[in-house]
Amino acid sequence: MRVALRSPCPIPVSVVLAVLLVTGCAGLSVRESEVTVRPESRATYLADKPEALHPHYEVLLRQGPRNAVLNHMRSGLAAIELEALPVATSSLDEALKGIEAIYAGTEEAAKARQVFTRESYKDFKGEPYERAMAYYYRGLLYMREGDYENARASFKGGILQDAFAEEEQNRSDFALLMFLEGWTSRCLGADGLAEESFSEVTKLKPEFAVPPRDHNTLLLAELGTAPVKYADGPGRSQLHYRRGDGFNEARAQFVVGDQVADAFPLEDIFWQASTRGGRPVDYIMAGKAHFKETAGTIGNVATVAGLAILGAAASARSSEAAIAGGVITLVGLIAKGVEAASRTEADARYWDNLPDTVHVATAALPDSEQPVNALFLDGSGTVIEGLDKVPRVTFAGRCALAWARSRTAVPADPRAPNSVAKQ
Amino acid sequence: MGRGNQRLQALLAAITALGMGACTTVYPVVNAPGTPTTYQDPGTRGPVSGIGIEANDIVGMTDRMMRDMLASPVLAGSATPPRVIIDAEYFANESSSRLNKNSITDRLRVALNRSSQGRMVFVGRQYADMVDKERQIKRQGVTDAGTTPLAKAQLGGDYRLGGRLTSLDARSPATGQMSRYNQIIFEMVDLETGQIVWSGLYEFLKTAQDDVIYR
Repeated sequence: MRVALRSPCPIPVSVVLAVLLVTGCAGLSVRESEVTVRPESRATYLADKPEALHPHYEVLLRQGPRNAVLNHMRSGLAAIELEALPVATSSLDEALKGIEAIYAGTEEAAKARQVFTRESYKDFKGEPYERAMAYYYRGLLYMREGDYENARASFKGGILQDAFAEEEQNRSDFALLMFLEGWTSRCLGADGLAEESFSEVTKLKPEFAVPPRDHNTLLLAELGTAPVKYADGPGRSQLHYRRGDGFNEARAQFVVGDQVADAFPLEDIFWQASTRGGRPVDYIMAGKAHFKETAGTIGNVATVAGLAILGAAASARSSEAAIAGGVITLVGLIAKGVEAASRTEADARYWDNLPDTVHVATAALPDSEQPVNALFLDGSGTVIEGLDKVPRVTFAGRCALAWARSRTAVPADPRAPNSVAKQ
Repeated sequence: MGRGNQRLQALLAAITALGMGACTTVYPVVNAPGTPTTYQDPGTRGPVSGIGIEANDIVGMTDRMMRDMLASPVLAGSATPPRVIIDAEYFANESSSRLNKNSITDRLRVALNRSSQGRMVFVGRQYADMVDKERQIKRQGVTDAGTTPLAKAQLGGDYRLGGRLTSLDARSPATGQMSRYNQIIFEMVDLETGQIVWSGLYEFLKTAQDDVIYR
């Protein structure tokens, strides 16, 4: 360093060093980095997990608490599909623990608000639609155990998560969870409560027919792929959504014996994601973006002006002008460094193995093994070959449940989208 | 240029030192060595809490219900101690809190049993199947009769616990504040007449507000 500063033109080297130091602040923190897991710890942790999910659960270990809720959400859902129900239950319980924890006065949350820290520095809790879906899947697991009271509590918990929409008409409009609240009440013999919930559903979806009283089996079909979050706008500070793609199924049918039941499209997950409106944190993100923009402007102006003064000083052989030009250039470059170090990107981590829509049908089935086929149809009503499924029908108490997906719930990538922090 | 250069070097050195200092303090690792296991009083609010029913709520409500039941002349003041069944069979959870109801009724039963000192007789209806099997093998001669006299039948209950958990959730989209009003009712029901001979109510409202980045 001393050699550089004694050189005939000390400013560029020193300036570069200073700028590098400022921009270097944008590096990854420990909690944003993946850690190495000792083989014996990994083996112990993965011992009871389905083999297909070993890479996913290993990522959960590597990514730590910052992404724990997200990793438990996606691995828990995948475990349901793989019929690894204790693993799914444990994962979704962990996810709900994170969702229900109140982050008030925590250091991580405060840091995530700072201008030099990414929003994704915070522990992931998900947006309201993701939190609501975690309660939905946990509720389904309770239903399979025949614990309809806790299933209902779960669905109610999900409805509460949906109360955050900016526009009043989009608050607490999760018809699927309201229906399931009613369905579980019916399974408990609480017909009065069931009717109350069903009436809420029909207010939101007037064309939905309340299941006949003799129906004991709930048939759920999940179609398509998850809504996609992406960061856009100034400094990528705004969180946006687009509908998932790569699928053309639009309807579902269940075939039970010689009966065919059209499933009703009760919930559109993309719609739930995209109708929330603004988040309170958006104001903070906008402030960060404004700060970054201002720093960039100052940097541009000061750098250009400083270099011009340096040029003029060289021509005039004026050391005072050279110092002034150097300082202004330095200020400009530092401001550019501050601009580069400002982390304005919205947190675009998301639960990527959710469906696009959830469709519902009911049936009256005897309390015995009964084959059910789930068919998926395109927009024109043509059955799509290769997507049909034979879901397991689980009887528990008064009711039974069958659950089918058109697309696999096991994510191809063990890492959730945007879950790896970049420099 | 010499003096100016020195000043400039000092300025750059200061900026560099500031930059290095900033970089080393931006991301502290929170509690890197972790926290060893500690025992906490379950009757006080734990370090992690939300708006649902938690350990301190269960301790508080069962303690209060126990004291109230012991003050009831019907339950704890009869010349012949009444037989009571306290379990979760008729204790309904209609709230939005996921919980194991047994954690409430078990604590209530155990605390009452220990405190009533014979003023009530507790019938373990949840163990009826276990008792029935043992009675059968005793009478079949598979085992001997044990040391206590054989009974004609298992004990019938005089009163049984019923109850309900309900909740009312509220959330303010403007402030992100959420609250849950929890109401838990406990009732002892005469198993011959259906008369409710004792009632207790426990209620609390919890309010919390997440950091703005989670609202």
